[in-house]
Amino acid sequence: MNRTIRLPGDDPFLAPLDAVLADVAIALQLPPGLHAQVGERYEAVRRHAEREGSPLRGRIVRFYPQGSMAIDATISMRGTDEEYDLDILAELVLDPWADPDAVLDLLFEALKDYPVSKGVERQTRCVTIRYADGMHLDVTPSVRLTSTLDRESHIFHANPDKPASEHYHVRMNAYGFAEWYRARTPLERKFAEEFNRRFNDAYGLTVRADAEFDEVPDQTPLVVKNTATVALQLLKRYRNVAYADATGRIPPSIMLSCFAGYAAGGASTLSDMVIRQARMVASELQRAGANGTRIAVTNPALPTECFTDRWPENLAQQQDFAGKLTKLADELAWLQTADISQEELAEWLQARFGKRAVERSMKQLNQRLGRAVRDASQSYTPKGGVYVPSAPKLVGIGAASAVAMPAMARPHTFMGGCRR
Amino acid sequence: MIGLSSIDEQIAAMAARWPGLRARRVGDRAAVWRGPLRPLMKTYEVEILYRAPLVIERIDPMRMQPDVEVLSPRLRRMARSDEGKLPHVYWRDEGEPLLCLFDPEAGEWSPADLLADTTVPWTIDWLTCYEGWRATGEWTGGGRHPSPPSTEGATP
Repeated sequence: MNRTIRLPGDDPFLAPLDAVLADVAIALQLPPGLHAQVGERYEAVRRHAEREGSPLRGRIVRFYPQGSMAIDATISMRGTDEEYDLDILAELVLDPWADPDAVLDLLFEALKDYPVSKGVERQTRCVTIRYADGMHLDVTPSVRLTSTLDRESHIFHANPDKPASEHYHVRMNAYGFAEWYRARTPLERKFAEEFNRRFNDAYGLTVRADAEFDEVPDQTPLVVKNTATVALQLLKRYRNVAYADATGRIPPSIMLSCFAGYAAGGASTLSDMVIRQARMVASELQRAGANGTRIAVTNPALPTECFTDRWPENLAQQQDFAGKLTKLADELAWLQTADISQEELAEWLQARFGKRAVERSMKQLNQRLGRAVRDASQSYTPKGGVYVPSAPKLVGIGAASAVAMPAMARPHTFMGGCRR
Repeated sequence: MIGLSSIDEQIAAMAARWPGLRARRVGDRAAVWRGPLRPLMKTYEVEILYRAPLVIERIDPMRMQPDVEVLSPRLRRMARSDEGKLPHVYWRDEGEPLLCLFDPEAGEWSPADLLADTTVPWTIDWLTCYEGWRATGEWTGGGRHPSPPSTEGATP
């Protein structure tokens, strides 16, 4: 007879800290309903921009994701838990040296009547479309540069409140960066399987308990595929919370994404990966500071594109962020072996990743543990640890006998009151 | 009925499965185990006192069940909770409450059972649910209250 048990060695979230961090990251993800709509929405925006009579009729080559969306690292916006910024590049057939203000105006003209309840707004580098459900689609016009690598382009910078002399072209290759990042962060099968099961569970999407990875239905896409990307999301969230009251620019996501790409690879737990990324960024910021310079992080796919051209504005800013990251890494390293209750951990997490997201993740964790206790699907380590698999897996006794088996649970009912 | 487990059998099973719990024999038929359990990230020092009944005794799981007490850290009460100040415990006139780990009327435990297979895992379950209750205010491990949640032990 087969017993229903999942071997701990299969589980990347075996350590409670890693499980909790995964739950926090899940609380930050684009919800599945919005995730499913992203592709449809940007196609609809493209159709609108290409409609009969549009100033961009016949001038659109393609729409494609950039930034966090291109590398599956989208999280809720700074200061909110329910709003999401998604970035699209609109590749246009125009002169790459066209007047930046005119290009942005042209795109705005093409999209200003787009039917959304919260309106369409021209920005310095893009046009933002705001949906009622909290999604913001930033459409950035771009023009390919000829005789260059694939999709090397100009985007256009024109603050309407600034004189034309301060408008300029930005040479970039978002596509190349996304390709570089994806190559460095390939699918980690076990990690993705467990993370996405938890994600589906958090949103009440049923996936059969013993479903194999390839059987996950299409409507529950693999939102995140790699430890480095989840660690990046946590680091971005940490930055958002740390700079919640800041009025100026904050450390850019693209800089953190680039370091996440460099840090990726090798077997690593989620907490280890957050620590590794935090220390790597902090170390590079400190190295630049020691030389009396501001950090310069460039696009691996286009060395002339500087990701840190607008932040840090001075040495103090980079020193401050380096200090914050070092503290985060030190505390996480301490937590990996600390004697700390769930309640104390929640307090620590809330201060770093936000109250609502952590409350949601703690509730999720508590529900999962409680369900396992009620169903007797948990097991135990000899030191009195409880192990709750994301999903049980059928394992033959013969196969299981070769590894250290956790002790199985037996159903029981908590009581209380008066004993005698 | 399956034969009762002797105290020697209980001690042997506990030593094999939960080596961190140290046994101290008390007389012919009783023992006390003490040691750490770490369900998640917090270590709890627990004490389990059990007296194996004689075959001729009337089997009453309520009366005969092991006493399970958390020695440290002290279990914290919550002033406002639907589950009471501290859910699923037996309050005592003196000292800390004992954990209530099973329904004595449901046949979930008898002196034929090994504590190593029941009491210790259920204590780990209780501590797991307790941590979740402290963190979120919700006891998710199920259970039933035979009477309205006790208001005893109000000290936070």
